[in-house]
Amino acid sequence: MFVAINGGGEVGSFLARTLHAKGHAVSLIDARPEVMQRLADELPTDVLLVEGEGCDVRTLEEAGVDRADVFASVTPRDEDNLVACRLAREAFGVRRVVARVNSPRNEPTFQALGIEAISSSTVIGRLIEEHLSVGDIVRLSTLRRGNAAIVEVEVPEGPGSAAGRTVADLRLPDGIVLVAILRGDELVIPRGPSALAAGDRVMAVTIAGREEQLARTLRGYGSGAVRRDRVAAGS
Amino acid sequence: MHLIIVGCGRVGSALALAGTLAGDDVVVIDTDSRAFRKLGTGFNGLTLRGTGLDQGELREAGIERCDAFVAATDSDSVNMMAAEIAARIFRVPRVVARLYDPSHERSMRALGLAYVNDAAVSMNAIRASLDGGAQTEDRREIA
Repeated sequence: MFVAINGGGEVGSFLARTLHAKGHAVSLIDARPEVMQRLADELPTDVLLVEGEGCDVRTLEEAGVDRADVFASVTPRDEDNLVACRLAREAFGVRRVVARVNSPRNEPTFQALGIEAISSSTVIGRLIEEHLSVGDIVRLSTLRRGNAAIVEVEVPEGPGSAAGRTVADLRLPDGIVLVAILRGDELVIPRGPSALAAGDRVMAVTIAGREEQLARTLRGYGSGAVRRDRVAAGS
Repeated sequence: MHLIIVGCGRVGSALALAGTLAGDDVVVIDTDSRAFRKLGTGFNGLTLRGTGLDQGELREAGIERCDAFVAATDSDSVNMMAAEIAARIFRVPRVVARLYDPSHERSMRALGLAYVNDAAVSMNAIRASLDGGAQTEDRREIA
């Protein structure tokens, strides 16, 4: 695969090194001569270094963007990332275009213009949220940029618990699908008549925001109050 | 006409004043509130501190009901991004970007944006006044 990168700072040079080590062809653009000089010493010699602005069509040409499978723009300036990515798409027809977004407020703009946007503040925020919910709901994986998740919930004993009920009895709403029940060493693929037991760990795919509903159904109470307590204690 | 101008430098401020004189509703946006001093007392539009790139901020400036949008900062990437937001997200009927550095002309064209090439406009005007027999004194001054 050939990846063209705009921005030779911490993020860009790390990305170039990592992708090169994995056997990909890489070109790297930066307008600062002193940065280019340093990168020429630091990076493997077959990384193509191009000095120029990513928002200049000629620079993109020199960096071979017309042949790139992926274009990534990772400078600290959102306007430069947006313009470079739009050019990669519009002038060079690159199919996969990824941008670093520095201000989370610009994220909707990148998305509206068809650019995959990665905002570190948004990602960190999500990770913190996932961490906070451990205990009631364990988020195993986030799908489709946080719009869905695979979660794990333990069925407790006591009143309100789903223990003893069948999957069909739970009347789960749209947007929640149970995919597996872990019971000791056993793995049960849940069907309507499968009964739940206390201590079961239930894995489900949910669309964003339905985790609470799943927790309430299986545990008899939501995790919201607990989660808020933890946030307060942590702050 | 409801006109939004991003960038209150020499071009943006002069354009804002001209808009006021023509009876337009003008909103000028700049990151530096000191830039608004250039508008003087003759300006009766609104000033807004901001980047001109934030959708919430642009809504505040009335972009949803605006007739024309001008991106006139001294950064071509800011001008291109602002113009793209105005033209493609808010579908403003008339959007013009200032081309500050002529080496970005191909980029403006590749994005399909309407632009005015600052340097070329003044170069052509100067050339025309040289060729068009401007007064001798003027010629001496230029030379």
